Amino acid sequence: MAKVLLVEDNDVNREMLVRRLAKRGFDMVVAIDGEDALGVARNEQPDIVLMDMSLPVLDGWETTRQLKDNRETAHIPVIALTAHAMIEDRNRCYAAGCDDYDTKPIEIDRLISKIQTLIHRLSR
Amino acid sequence: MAIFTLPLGILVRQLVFEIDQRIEFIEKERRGLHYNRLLRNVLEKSLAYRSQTHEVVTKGDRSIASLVDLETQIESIFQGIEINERRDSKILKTTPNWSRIQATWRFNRKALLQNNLSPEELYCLQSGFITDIVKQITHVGDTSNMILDPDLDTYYFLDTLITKLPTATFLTAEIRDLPKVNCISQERDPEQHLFLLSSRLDQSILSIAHARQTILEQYPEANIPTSSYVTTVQSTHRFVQVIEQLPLDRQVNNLDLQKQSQYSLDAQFMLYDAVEPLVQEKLSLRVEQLKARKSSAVIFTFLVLFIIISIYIALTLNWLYIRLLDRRLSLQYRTASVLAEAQSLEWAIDRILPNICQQLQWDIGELWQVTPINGEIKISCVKNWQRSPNPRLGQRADLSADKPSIVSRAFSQKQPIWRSEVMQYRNALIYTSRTEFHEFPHALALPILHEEEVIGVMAFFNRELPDQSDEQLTTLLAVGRQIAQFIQRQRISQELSDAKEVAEVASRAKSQFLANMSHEFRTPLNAIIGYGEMLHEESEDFENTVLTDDLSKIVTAGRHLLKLVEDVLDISKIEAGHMRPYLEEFNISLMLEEVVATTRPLIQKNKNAFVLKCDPEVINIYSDFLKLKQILINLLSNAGKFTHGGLVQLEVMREIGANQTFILFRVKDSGIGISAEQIQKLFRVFTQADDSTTRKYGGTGLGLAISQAFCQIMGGTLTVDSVVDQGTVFTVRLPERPTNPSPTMPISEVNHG
Repeated sequence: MAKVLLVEDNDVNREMLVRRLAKRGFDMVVAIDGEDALGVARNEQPDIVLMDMSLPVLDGWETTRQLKDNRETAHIPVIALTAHAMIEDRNRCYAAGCDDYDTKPIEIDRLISKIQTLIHRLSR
Repeated sequence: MAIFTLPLGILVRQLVFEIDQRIEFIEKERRGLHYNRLLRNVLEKSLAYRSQTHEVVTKGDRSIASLVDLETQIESIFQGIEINERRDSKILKTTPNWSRIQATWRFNRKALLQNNLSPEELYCLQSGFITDIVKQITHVGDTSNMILDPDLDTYYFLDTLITKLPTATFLTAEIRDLPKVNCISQERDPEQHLFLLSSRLDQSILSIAHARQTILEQYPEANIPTSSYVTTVQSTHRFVQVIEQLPLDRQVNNLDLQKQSQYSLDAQFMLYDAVEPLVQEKLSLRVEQLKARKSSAVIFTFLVLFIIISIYIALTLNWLYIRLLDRRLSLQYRTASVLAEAQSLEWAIDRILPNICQQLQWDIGELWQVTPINGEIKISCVKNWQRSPNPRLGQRADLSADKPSIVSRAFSQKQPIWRSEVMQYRNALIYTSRTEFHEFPHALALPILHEEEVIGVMAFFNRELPDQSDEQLTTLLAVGRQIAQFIQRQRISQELSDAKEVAEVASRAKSQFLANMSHEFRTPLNAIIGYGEMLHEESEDFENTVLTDDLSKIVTAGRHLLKLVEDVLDISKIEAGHMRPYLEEFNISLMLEEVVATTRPLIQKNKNAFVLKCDPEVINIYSDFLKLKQILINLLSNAGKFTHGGLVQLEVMREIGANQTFILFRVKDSGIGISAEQIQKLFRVFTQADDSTTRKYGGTGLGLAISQAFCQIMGGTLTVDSVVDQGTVFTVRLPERPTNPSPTMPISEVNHG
C-alpha cells in the first residue's frame, strides 16, 4: 500500500486527514513542520508528500525546494495544499517543485484521485 | 489739448492784435485832432494878432499894451499845446516844428518890443509864424494818420480840417492883409499875386463844398453841419468876388472888404468847430465798436477754451477711471488665474503679492494667516515681499491678537486700517530690526474675511505717501476676497483629504479584518466539514440511517457556511477596490472541463439535461482563470438549482467586433425565470430574486453580485434576459484579449494555509 507523508501543523486537520486517508487504505506518516518533514521524508521514503504551504519554522515552498534539491528525496512527488488557490500561489507551488496542488477544504475523493494519478505515473 | 488750443490762441491773438492796431490807429487820429484843435486856436488868435500888430505899428503907437490880451491868450494856448507835446510828441513827431514855432513867437515878440523893425518886416515875420502853424496842422494830419483815415466820410471831414480849411483861412487872411502892407515880393506883380491867391482860395472852398457833396451822396444819413458849410462857402465866395471887383489900391482900408473877410474867417472857424466834434464823435464811436468786437472775440475764445478744457477734463477723468477699473480687473484676473493654478497658499502668494505691490506702488507687501492654536489666536506671516530686498528687515515674528501692531488692529477691528503718522506707531511694527521702520512710515492693513471671520491680514508699507483712494481699497478688498476663498477652499480640501485618509485607513482595517476572519473561519470549518464527511462515511458503513441523515445536514451546513465566508471576503475586496484581475492566457476547453466536472452533479440532481456547445473557433482567452471559473460555476449551479426536469445549456462562442473580439459564455435554462421587477434587484448584494428563494434554494445571495463585479474587473459584462416560467439566459461577455491590459496587481493574500 502506498505510503503518504502528510505535512500539516494544524493538529485537528492533520489528525482528520490521517484518519480519512488511512481508512481508504493509505499508509500514513506525518510531520508537523518543514524541518520535521525533511527528516521524516529521508527516513521513511514515502511514495508521496502532501504539503501544507503555510508552515511554521520552514514554510511549504522552502521545504519542497529542499526536498527536491536532495538526491534522497527528489524523486518523491509533492502535492501542495493551499487555503486559497490564487494563480500566483499555484505558480509559486510549481516553481518550488510541487507536482500538483489542491485547495482546502479538502474534497477527499478529488485528493485521492490526484494522489493515485501521481503514484501511477511514477510507478509506470 | 495743445493741438486744439494752439491754433485757436494764434487766431484770436491775431484778431485781437488787428483790432488793437486799429484802435491804436484811431487813438492816434484823436490825439492829432486834439493837437490840431489847439493849433486852430493859435491860428485864429495869431491872425488877429498879426492884423492888430500891423494896425498898432502903422499908427505909430508902438506900445504893445493893446496886444497884451491876445499875447496872453496865445501863450495860454501854448501851455495847452506844451502839455500835449509832452504826451504825444513821440507819436505825432511835432517837436521840431513846435520848437521853431515857439522860437519864432519869442523872436517876433522881441522884435516888436525892440521897436527897430518896419511894419512890413514885422508883418513878414508874423506871416512866417502863421505859415509854420498851418504847416504844423498839415504835419500833424500826416503823422496822426488822419490823412489815411479808411472811412470815406471821416476822410473828407478830416481832409477839410487838416488841409482845406487851414489853407483857406491862411489865404483869406493873406488876401485881406497883403494890400495893407507893402511886403509883397518885389519880383512879382502884386495884382497877379493876389489873383493867384484868390483863385487858390476859390479852389479850396470849392473842394470843401465838393467834399461835403460827396459825403452827402455816400452817407445820406450823415449828420453834416450843412449851415456851417453853406455859410463858409457863401461868405468866402462873396469875399473873393469883392476882391476881384476892387482894384488893388482901393482894397486897403475898404470897409466892405474888411467886413466880408471877417465874415469869411469867422465862418471858416465855425465850420472847423462844427466838423471837429463830429469827427471826434465818429472816431470815439468807432473805438467803442472795436472794443466791443474785441471783448466779444475774447469772450468767445474763453468760452471755446472753457468748453475744450471741460471736455478734456471730462475725458481725462473718464480715462483715469477706466484705467483704474482696468487695473483692478487685471489685478483680480491675474490673482484668479494664479489661485486657479495654485496648489498651496505660499505658492500663490509668492506670485500675487509682487503683482499687487508693483501695480499699486507699495514698497513692502505682506500676507498674514490667522490660526487658532489651543484657543489662542496666532497671526503668522506667510510671505513678506520687498521691492528692494533688505536682509536687515529679517523674519517677521508671529503676532497675537492683542499685540500693538497694525496687523493685529486690522484683525481685531475687522476693517482696513490706514496709517500715515510717522513715528507714533513705530513700535507697533514688529520687525526684528525696528529701526528700519523709519523708512516705511505709511501703511495699510486689510483683514481677509470669510463669513465675518478674519482668516488673514494683508499689510502694505510705503516710503512715500501712497494712493489713499477708495479705488485702492476696493481693489485690495476684492483681491482679499479672492484669497479668502482660496484659503477656505484649501481648508475644506484639507479636511476632505483628512477625512478620506481616515476612511481609507478604516476601510483597509476592515478588509484586513475580514481577510483574517475568513481565514480564521476556514480552518475550523475544514475540521467540521472533514470530520462530518468522515463520520458520514462511517455511519453509512454501519448502515445507521438516522445518524447518516443528521451528519449529512452538518456537512451541507458547513459547506454553505464556508461558501458564505468566501463570498463575503470577495465582496469586501470588491467594495474596497482591492479586487484586481490576474490576467493570463489559458485554454478555454480545459477550464470548461473543470467547470463542468464541478457543476454537472448539481445540474443533474434536479433531473435536468445538460448540453455544452463550444464554437470550434474558441481556443484561448487572456483573462482571469479562477474568476471566470467561479462565475461560470455560479451561473451553472444557479441554473441547475432553479430548473427542474428541464434543460441547462452552456454555449461558448466568438463575437468579432469592430475593434475587439469577445468571447460569449451563455448559460441558458428552461427554469422558473425571473420577472422584470426582480431583474432590477438581481445584482445587488445580499439580494435574491425573492426572499423565499433563499429558504427554498439556499445560496448566499452574493453570487450574482460577485460574478458581475468580476466581469467588470475583467473588462466585460454580465447581462440577463428572462421570461417568467420559460427560462433565463445569463450572458458573460469578455474581451478575448483586453485592448489595454492593465498591469496585473496580485492581491496579497493573507492566508496560504
